[in-house]
Amino acid sequence: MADLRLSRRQFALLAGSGLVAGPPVRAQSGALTAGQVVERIQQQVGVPWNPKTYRDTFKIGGPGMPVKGIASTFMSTLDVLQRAAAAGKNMIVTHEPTFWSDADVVKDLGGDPLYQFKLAFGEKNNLIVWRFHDHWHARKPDGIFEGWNKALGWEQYQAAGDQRVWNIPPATLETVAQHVAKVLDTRSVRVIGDPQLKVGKVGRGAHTLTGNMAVLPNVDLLLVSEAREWDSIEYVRDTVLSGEKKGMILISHEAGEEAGMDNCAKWLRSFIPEVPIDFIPTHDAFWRPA
Amino acid sequence: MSEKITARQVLNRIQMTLGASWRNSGTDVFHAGNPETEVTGIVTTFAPTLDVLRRAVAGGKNMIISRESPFWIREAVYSGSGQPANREQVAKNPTYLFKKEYIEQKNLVIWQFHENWGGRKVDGQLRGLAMALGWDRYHKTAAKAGEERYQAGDCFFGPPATSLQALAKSIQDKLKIRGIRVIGNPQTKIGKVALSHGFFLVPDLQRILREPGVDAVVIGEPVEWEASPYFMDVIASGQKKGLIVLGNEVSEEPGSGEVAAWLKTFVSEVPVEWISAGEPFWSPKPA
Repeated sequence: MADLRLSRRQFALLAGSGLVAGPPVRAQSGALTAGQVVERIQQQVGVPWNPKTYRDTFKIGGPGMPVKGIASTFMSTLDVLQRAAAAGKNMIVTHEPTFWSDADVVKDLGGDPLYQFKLAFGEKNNLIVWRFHDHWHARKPDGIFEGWNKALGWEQYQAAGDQRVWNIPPATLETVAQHVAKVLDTRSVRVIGDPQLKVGKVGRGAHTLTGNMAVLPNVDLLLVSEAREWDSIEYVRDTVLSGEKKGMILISHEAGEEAGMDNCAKWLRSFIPEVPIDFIPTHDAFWRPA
Repeated sequence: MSEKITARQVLNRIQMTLGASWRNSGTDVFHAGNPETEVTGIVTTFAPTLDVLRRAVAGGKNMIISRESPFWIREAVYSGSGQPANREQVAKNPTYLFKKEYIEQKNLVIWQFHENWGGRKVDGQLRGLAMALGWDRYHKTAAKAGEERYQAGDCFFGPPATSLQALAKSIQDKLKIRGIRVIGNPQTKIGKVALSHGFFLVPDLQRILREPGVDAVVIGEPVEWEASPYFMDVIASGQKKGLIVLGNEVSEEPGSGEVAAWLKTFVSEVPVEWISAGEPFWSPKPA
């Protein structure tokens, strides 16, 4: 009879593919398991859990593994995994993918040495990576924007009932861009529009043309973390060229969501007292030559 | 220049001269204007922005051949790209209406030349960018006898050895750009560089990194949950490499110069000019 026990690597692959389901396995001697952490998150998030989510699932490791500490982060890059392991946090709650695609598709990565390296690092250090994207956004208020608003220092300017619009004291586009770069600790800010344009009403855009087109006509300034350059960027450029007094500040994806995972660590601490919980920043990897 | 030529005749001539079988493509279509319009002059560009259109009109040219669409939509496939663009929403958008009216008022014809230009044996976009960087003399691979350069895989260069920081700075200065972004240790030593252009996906990066000894990769635009974190992980795995991100327009615009030069070899009836859309961004100085 074939040996049906899975190697840890096989288990990680299955977990990543979403094939492992069912109740969390209880670890020995009552230690907190990753499955119990996820169960508690599902109870606390305040919105019904979507059983079809392909994002908010295990990417490395699985529900039965014991948790010694938790790190929340924007993206489970290899650097973040290394820092989490060094800090004794073996469960990483990540907002973004681990294996470089939205659904963490690994079926074509088998021969990729970097994939093997990252997976082996996770196994060797008993790491568990679990993604928390859709439901952290679906929470009311949206956990990402709640944290981001605080980081921007714009909480008091938020429009009533809309986490994505702010009425800031009018300032030049250049001044606002400098403020954003400074408070979000990012070096890769890019801007469209007249630097001296006075802006007051700011709207948070999206990664897509559809999302940005829904916001720009109603605001002075579109603030976006990552958008495609052939559509959103050229649409904004044409809008400015058409004579509209508008601008856009484009920040990295990381700068737009990192603070929301710091916020997540604080939230997790409010109902997981058994293990230490830290936010580990992914940091904006982009820099500009002087 | 006494003979007449219509936009459709220009297209027919492009199809005959391409040197590759013509693909019926969603991109390479007339996006605006009547193809039977008599052409007064041709402008090539990366993106037919309102500024490019105004400069074309000022120069008496009414046919625009662009890499991207005048109304911004391109159905590109990447993970999590969501629903296709909402064409009903675009059709009601004030910027769309403004631009459409300008195009109609000036009787402009806009034809997109993207997929089929990329179907040629020689990668004109890569050649244009390498020329703009002054890297044509730095090819790392030997030219194949009787073959033109810049065919598939002929993308490795050896500019004078330097650091990642110095290479990025030299590119920034050479191309006069403001929105360049870099990943990697600024002190990383760079000898061999892979050059690419436009939208850049993980399989492109995997293919490039199979080439031994690549120290830096120069690209147009990555998805920040795909190729750029892949590169961050390459570095974290202990490999000393750098990624230089130019921006999509910056990396593709010189290719529109190549399109113009190529058109001139078989369109003699009207003047042909490359008008750069220019980098869309500026970057704030630290406060």
